[in-house]
Amino acid sequence: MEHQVELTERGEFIYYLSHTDNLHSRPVWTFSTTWCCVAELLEDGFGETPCYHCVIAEVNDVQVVGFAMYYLTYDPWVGKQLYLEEFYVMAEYRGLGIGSEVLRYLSDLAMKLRCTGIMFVVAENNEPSMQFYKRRGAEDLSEGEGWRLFRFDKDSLVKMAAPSEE
Amino acid sequence: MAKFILRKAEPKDVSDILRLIKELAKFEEMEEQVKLTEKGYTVIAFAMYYFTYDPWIGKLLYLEDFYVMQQYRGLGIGSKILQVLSEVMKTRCSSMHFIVAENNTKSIEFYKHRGATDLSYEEGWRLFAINKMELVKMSGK
Repeated sequence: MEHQVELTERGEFIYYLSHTDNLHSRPVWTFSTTWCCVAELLEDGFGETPCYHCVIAEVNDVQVVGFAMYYLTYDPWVGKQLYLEEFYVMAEYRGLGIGSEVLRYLSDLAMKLRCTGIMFVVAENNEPSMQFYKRRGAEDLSEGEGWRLFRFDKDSLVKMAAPSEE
Repeated sequence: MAKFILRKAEPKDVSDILRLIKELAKFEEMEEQVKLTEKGYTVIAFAMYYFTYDPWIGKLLYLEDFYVMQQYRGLGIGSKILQVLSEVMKTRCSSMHFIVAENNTKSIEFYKHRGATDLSYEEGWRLFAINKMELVKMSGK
């Protein structure tokens, strides 16, 4: 039995025509997580101003087995970037070239959108992923240039937003 | 306390923004990596930001560039900019992210003093990039 791996574009509302010419779409909420509810994901990705876009890997016309979530960012030194926020292929579907195909798709898209690069973060203990990316030419900027990712959480922001006594 | 105002950037500010981007790059000793081109002033500081997304928590504010000209530091301008950005966040953002060079101890202190967490240290995140040349190689397959 051969798996048919097909990529479907979501955020731009382009629907994939299957071999039998049936128009169909797979809602992205099959990937809803326990952290962000379906309604938020729906509004944030498919409302008036989408905060993100997704590309889906679909098998046998029915099952979504992988996805990449991305959005455009800006590096004032070199311009537009494609930021890869999430990238996942279900364990039982790895090693089939799906991940590579998704990256190839994103590279193509980045070129079309005139991006100068793709950026993303990887956990330092995720050796397989780091190797996957490095094999395809990715550079570890934390190691090479010493960049560290920082965050202000909501509490800190609320404190900062309060007017200071002067 | 020096008199200054904070306002949203307009198209006419683009050349000042580029000037400050280059000054900031020089400060970070990476000036030669600035590829965007160009060149009396009243603009002395800026912050560049946009909205990003974390599917675990939702919309985030991403602080891309943040710079106050040397001679105008220590006057509360940086703090005020952060305050304004924190206000902007009230539009459904749960968090602000940004990156800092590990050798930029002054900035790290500035941010930590205001409650920022070093996620690279705490959670082990490393920033990766695939540049245009490699993208062309991949898309050509």
